[in-house]
Amino acid sequence: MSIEARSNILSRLRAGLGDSQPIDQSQDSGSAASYQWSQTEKVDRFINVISSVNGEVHRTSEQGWPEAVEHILKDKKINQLLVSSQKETGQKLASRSLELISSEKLNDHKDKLFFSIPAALTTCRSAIAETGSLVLWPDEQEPRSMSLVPPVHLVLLKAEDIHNTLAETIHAEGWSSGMPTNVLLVSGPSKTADIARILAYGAHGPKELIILLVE
Amino acid sequence: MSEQIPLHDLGFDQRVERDLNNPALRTNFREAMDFLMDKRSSSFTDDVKLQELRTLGASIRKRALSKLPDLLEQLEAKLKENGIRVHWAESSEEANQTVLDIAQHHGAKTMIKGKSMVSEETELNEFLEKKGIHPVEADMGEYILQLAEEKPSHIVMPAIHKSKEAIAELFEQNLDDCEYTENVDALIQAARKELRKQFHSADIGLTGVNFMVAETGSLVLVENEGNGRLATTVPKVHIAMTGIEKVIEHLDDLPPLLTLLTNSATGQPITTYVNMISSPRKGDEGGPEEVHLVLLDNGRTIPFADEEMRQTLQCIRCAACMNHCPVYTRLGGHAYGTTYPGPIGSILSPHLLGLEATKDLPSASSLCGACSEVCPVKIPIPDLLRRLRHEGVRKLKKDEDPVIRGHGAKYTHTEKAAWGSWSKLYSSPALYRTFALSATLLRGLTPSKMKGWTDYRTSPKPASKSLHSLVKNYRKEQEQSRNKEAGGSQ
Repeated sequence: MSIEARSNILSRLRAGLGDSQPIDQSQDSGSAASYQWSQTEKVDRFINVISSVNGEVHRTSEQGWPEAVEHILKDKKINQLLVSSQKETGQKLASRSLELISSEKLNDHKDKLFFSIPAALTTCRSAIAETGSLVLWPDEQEPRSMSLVPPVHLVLLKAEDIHNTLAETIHAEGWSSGMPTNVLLVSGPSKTADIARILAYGAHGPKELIILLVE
Repeated sequence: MSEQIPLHDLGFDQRVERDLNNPALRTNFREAMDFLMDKRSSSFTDDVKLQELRTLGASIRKRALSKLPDLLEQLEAKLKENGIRVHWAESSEEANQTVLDIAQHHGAKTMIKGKSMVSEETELNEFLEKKGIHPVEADMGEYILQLAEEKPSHIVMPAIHKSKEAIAELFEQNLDDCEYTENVDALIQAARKELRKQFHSADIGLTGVNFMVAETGSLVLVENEGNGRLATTVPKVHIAMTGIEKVIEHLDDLPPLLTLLTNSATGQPITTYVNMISSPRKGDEGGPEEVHLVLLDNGRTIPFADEEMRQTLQCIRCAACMNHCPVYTRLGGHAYGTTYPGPIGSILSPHLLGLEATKDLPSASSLCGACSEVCPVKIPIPDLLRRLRHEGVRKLKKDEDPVIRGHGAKYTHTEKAAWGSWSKLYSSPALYRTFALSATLLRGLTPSKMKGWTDYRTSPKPASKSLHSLVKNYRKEQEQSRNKEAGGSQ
């Protein structure tokens, strides 16, 4: 069925094109805005945009972030944290007074993930200043559901990893030559306005997105 | 209070009349469209930049369509290489059957759905229910509509016609431990809790797709809630379903289209989540073990064959055209009676369903042009509406290939004859003079009722003197007074 459908659709499309020539990219007109901000500007822009959609940013340092995580969670009365034991996130938090749950083999603990783990801390690959977005490439240490299912998502972001735009990120990181299984842009906590246009956070994903910005 | 809005039992005129006479519905739409228009205009602050970006958006979409069959083959090859299975479907039935086959192969009983307008187009839910598979909508708006047994009235905000009071009642009746509340946070949390259970246990996740990238073999999903992420992450099998036109050539083409889509739709610089999927899970990184893509034609190849109407397929489904349409704002989405309402629906649905079933839609527009002014990919919607009006009253010549199903669906001998006479009258001065003279002389005989026209307007009565004769008299008087003046000064 599908094979026949395929050849029918493709031949209808080819017939539809007739002898018209394909348009080359060099013939594109118009342009997208591009930005070249300084490091300070990039950081400011990122913080402004992600804060405007309820992302919470804590500016901290290479030495200071583990303590910041501990404080933030204590304030929220959370003492369990899902974290990769193989990444610096888990390793540097090991001595803190937090119950760490290792994110490796997370897929074997679906119930726990869905109904009891209160928070997760992940790293991120980079970020985008223009739109206030975090770029996540989930992997075996930090599987895809880790940044999605627990109600609070904390992210460790290095200030030097902030790009100007998505277009720049794609180029700088060579995405076109090979994409991983899943790339995510996360720009704030989950939200919806589907009931009478009234904004509510925590629709299906995390209700809180907390960024530890390491400068 | 849950108002049932059946789609196919009434004719277009009756649906229009019903919805125009529903003040609550009209208030909901007026306020919602004002809200969405404000959001868009406050996010596009620099008009020069916006026009440059729209031009680029149109270029990208036109370029992709100019090589669509090649791009689809490239996409398919790339997806296969990445481990994603590709299925092709010529019709809704074929697409639904494909989904069912995959589900049955896995012995699936439950399905959790992210938002997919294409699955609305194919009426997948109704089909699967009959086959013993229970699909649950997870987009909050779609979930509300599934509980209410209604159809979307807007392609981005499907439940925009529902008041929060109606939703509160619906949740009270249908959700476990949910008391009546008009607190929106509480309502969303109640739905989240219920749907979490469904996500946890569902056998299959099904979603739509916003863009497919041929170069990298990636499926791009844009959303705010996380329903799309959950549906593509938790179940063992993910089925993505979309139209063949959604493919773009390069990954570079994505950023400008994303900017156009989210800003045009809801005035957001970006949505909360942009989810790019390029393969099933590898090892322990999570995600589904199998990913399937169902590519649907369902009539899209028809406008594709006509260079002008092909532009319909540039659409990226932002809904800005309906948000800015004075007709949609007054009618709401259900009056159109089609999956895709508003201006884009009126130029797309005739291809998907044929002009017989949709003959009124191209006329349901004042041709004010607001839609094409805001369209992020510059689809000339009013031109296409006029083209469809033309095809609707035109009979095919012998040996002429049809460009749409249902040519001449609106053709009537009376209308043809009326326009024929009009054209004769206006191209012959002698005939026109005779007509004008008799119309003014016999003005007393103008009928007070004229079918169609006088339903909502008063009957037009010719003036006692025609404009031509008034001008003639005026000129005569001018000449006389000039002659008098000339005589007096001598």
